[in-house]
Amino acid sequence: MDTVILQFAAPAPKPGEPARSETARSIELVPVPVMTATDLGTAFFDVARARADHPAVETGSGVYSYDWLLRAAERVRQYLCARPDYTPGACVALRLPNSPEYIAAFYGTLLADCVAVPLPVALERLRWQQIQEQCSPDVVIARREQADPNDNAAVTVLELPDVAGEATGRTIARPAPRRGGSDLAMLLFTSGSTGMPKGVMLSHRNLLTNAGSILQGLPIRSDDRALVLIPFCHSFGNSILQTHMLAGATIAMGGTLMFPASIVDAVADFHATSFSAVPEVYGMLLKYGQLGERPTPSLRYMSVAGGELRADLAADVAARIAPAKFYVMYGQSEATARLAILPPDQLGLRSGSIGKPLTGVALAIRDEAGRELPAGVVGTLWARGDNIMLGYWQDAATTKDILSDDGWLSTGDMAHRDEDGYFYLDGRANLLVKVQGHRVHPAEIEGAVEAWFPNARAVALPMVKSEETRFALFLAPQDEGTIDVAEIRAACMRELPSHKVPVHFEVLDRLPLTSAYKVDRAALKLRIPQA
Amino acid sequence: MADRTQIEADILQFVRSRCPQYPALGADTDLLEEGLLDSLLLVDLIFQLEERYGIKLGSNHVSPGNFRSVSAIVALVMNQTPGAAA
Repeated sequence: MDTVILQFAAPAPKPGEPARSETARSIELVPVPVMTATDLGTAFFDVARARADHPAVETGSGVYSYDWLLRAAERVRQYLCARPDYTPGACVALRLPNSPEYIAAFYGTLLADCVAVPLPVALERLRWQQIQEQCSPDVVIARREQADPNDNAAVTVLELPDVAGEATGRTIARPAPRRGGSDLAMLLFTSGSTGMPKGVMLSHRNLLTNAGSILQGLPIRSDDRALVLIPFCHSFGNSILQTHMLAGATIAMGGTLMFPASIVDAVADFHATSFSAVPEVYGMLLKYGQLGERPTPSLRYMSVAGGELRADLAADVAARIAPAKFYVMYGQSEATARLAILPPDQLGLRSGSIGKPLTGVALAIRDEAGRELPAGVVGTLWARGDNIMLGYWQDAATTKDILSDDGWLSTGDMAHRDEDGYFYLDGRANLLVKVQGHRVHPAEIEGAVEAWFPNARAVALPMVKSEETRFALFLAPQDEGTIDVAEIRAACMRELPSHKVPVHFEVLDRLPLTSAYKVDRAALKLRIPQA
Repeated sequence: MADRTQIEADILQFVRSRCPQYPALGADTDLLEEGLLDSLLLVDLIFQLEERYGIKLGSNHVSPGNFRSVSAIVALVMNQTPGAAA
């Protein structure tokens, strides 16, 4: 596998005050382009051509126009197509943080008729190996400082076009894609019940349809300036990227999720019109972000998805950002990204609701036999639409468990609806846990610990600590012998990303079992110390 | 109330325990530049500080300046603890 590093020849021009305030002042109402292409690469290409001079991305260090983005994506496309092993449909791994380079690499990959596999920059070695074994990418596109020295592969440096250079995007020929529609466009690796990563297969149609539905549900306009801090390699971040690029709008990157006040500052400084994030970020914004204290007149709306935000906190956010609106949304990776939206005027009336299905999406509540349930009755939430994934990569068995022949996806969430068709979540039907927006299956932690310490049996359970969801880990010896909890803790900290590291460890003589001889998770849950 | 040396030792120990991949971590290591501080560590740090030193951190305290290094965190704690011996 080759590593490709994207490098700038010269630094991007600073976001000069004139350029920025100009955009902020002039209200430019360009209708969101009608998408005619049936592949995401060409859809992006058409928008980028039409919006050549408009800023596509702004960061603290530069402004990147759609023309630049198109030229940069073309550079990536040419490189991929010129490779001796070039094959349409091959996987290209992207290990880049949110950046102009990420966006260029993503669309360049699609324009080359390849499949984009976006991955977190901080990826555990084991998980990276598992993903490579599953989809064998020929190329990984990374930043120099992130190129893994252990990969032992050839490194190619690809120089990106000069940001200040001549706008020559219009001389690039419109692509004649060989892939589109129901062909695979993107593989999104997520947590699996076996502890192995599962690749959610998203087609061009999935991505285009869901972006179209979101563009109808949210008031996204081509003059929008969306502040985006959640990673593009997750389905939520990816959907924000797709919707704003297809709308010809601007994505701003500034501030950090860690320091909530910096988010509010970035909204003000970048004249951002929208901001979207996972519930934990809003929790921090309310506590430490002075949300609503610094004026942000440019802001039109904020939205939350990727987990449940407590109803009282949602109401608090809405009150603090008014007159800007607050949209509560619901979705999952298997549905490309988003499935439902609660109109802001319903937030106070239908507290705790995730809203109604987006255009093109059908939602249903069913019992275990698959019969549809009436209003007010809790059952499993199912979803259908052109945004539902093709299936899991090389895993027909797991796909069959949750995706029916007639196209209905079992979300694994328990829910009910009210008489007016608004949906409400009532917990998870499976063991998946959300930690700061990351979907983690306990088996990922359990499997890792048991692989390092074959004498240990490990059970991970969610626990709430300082109002945040984390993991507790219960350990028992497999046979005889003792458990060195300090060693296990150290290994977890060394090898696992921080959101998977348990915050409570407890060693038991043996794990409690249910009458069916399965680990009694409910009994273990009672042992978790209360925060 | 613990003195500055003790507070620094406590916080250093806590941050080190969470960053085993960085054994050289000292009181002046730039936690942001080295990519050692993430949102989870930050949340846990705030929780620890509030719990252990009986202080209450607000929006103006949770900033890059106050969490850039262990020394900066110690200064923040000292500032918020009127009775702390310098």
